[in-house]
Amino acid sequence: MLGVLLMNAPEFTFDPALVDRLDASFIDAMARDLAITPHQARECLRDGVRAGLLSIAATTDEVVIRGEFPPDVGEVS
Amino acid sequence: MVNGKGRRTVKDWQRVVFRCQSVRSVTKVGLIYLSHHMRADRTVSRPRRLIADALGISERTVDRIVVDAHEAGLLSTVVRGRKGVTAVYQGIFPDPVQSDTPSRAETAQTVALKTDISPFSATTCGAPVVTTGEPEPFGCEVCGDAGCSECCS
Repeated sequence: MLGVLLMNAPEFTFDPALVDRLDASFIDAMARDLAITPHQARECLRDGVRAGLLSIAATTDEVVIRGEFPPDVGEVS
Repeated sequence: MVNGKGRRTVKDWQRVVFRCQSVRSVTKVGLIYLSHHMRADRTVSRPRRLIADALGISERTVDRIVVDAHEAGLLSTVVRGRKGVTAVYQGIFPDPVQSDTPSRAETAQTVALKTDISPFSATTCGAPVVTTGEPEPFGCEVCGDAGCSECCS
């Protein structure tokens, strides 16, 4: 059981290419909220990943993004 | 979107800021920061030094953000800042027709509320108008009332 859980545990990385695998409905909603194109929304997320502000993990059935604290910024009180 | 009392909320204002295309990205970031400190009536007072520190920018850039937001009709000055007095600003909704005329911004908000126009179609701030569902009904040409049965009959 634990082995199954560990296999499914998403491993967060800073690979901007994984943004392409994000769900289209999520990207569309983001693009709508910000009045930008879906292409721009994906580019925005890639920028975030490159800057170390977002990490991304892909499992077999979902792609998850997570807010990160880049070392040069650190946690802000 | 308006709340039960017909007033637009900080959340509504944030949505307009997010969609606004007539301001720079740094201005949007500054305005979203200010929105986190806004009262329910969308007024906010925050020392320039604190804003600059929180965003990692200079106080001069904070000034430019405020000017930019005023020009876009997103912010109005309630109390002018001076030595020893922190300015008070209010988040406002830009004029849908002349978003470059900030003095008409609050008027536009009032008109939008009276005619029951969706805040998203009324405050585009340069963003493309996105409407969902049924179009809003037009009011009477004489009195402006959507449910008028006297002037129009």
